[in-house]
Amino acid sequence: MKRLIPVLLIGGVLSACANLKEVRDFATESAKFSTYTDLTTRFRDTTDRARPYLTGANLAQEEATDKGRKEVYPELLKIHERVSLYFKTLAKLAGDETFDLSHEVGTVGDTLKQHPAFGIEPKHVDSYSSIGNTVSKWITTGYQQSAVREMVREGDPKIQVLLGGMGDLVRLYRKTHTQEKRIVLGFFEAEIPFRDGPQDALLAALAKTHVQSKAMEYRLVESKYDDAESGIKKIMQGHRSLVDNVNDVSASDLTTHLQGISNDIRVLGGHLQTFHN
Amino acid sequence: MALSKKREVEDLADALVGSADAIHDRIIKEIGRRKIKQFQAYSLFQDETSLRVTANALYLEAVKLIVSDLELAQTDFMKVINKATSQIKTIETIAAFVDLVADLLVLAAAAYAAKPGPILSALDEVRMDIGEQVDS
Repeated sequence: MKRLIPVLLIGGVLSACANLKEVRDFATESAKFSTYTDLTTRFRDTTDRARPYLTGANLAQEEATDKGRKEVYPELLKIHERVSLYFKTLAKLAGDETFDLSHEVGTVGDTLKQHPAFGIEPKHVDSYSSIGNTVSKWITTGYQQSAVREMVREGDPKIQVLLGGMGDLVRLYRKTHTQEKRIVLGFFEAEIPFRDGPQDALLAALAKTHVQSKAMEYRLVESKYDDAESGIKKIMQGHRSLVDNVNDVSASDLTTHLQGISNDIRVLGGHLQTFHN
Repeated sequence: MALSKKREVEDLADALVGSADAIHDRIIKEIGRRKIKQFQAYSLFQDETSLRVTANALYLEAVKLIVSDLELAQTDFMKVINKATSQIKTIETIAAFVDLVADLLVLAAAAYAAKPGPILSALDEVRMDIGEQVDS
């Protein structure tokens, strides 16, 4: 009888174990957040869009800048890859499957079933399996929590620096975009007024149509910069909350908070996909 | 130090953008008042564009400075990721531990419930069986 006592205790211990689902959802959404990559590619291609409006020395200088943008592009993507890898690892660490030992436990149960000579009846094997799963969940949840804790605590200063850097880069992408926009739209603004004669009617109409579509394109892109900036801030904030509540990963406040942030990030991502397609 | 430098580069570019914006407003204003001819507007717009192209070149410099700053952080960062990955891998050791505990429990339970004799005598064999299962 004495040996059964630990089994009975397990139920109580289990109910106190943390549910890491929210941590995982947050990490998964953060890893998927790809706006930064889209905007980095747009930054790289700035000259391609501005080239028709540039001549002489301006074009020459822009071509040199273009070369520089293309050179730095892989480095810019690498920053996102690292951050993404971090969150994927965190998602995996907080994941159900990582620490799910039901397969191992099941295997042991099957082994017992295959050896009736032990005199163990099937119902005992089944109870073994369920006890085994309970025990393994109990033990590994504790291990998992401490692993997640350690990762977010150690990772936080670095992830904040990298995400902050990504935010700075998005700000510079936006500024670069603004200059491109002012060169392109400004060109038409300074040219169209001089094409008001009857002989230029066709040219003026085509130019105005082009201005409309470019203005539309820029508006859509600008909402992407907004989304990227707020998305990055949300990820920084979410990770910060993880660290602040590191000793109690299942705290209900944190859970609600992270769920909200994961949803926001998901919505921002979907929003951007719509623009992209 | 590096931070103030990349900030300075960005600030300089912002200042050039401010001048370009002022030039542009003036061009448009003069066009509206029909005070300048097309070639003058064109020429002034090229000057304005030159400031914008230069500003963008400086923004690229600021981007490069950020990247080189972040490279240091990234090296550090990989250590954290690799550590977590190795923790995920060490779960195998825990699996063996869990099996051992669970094995003890079930045998105790089975022994208590039904046929103590054969089960207790089979304990060592079962353990060995499980050991092989875990190792394979």
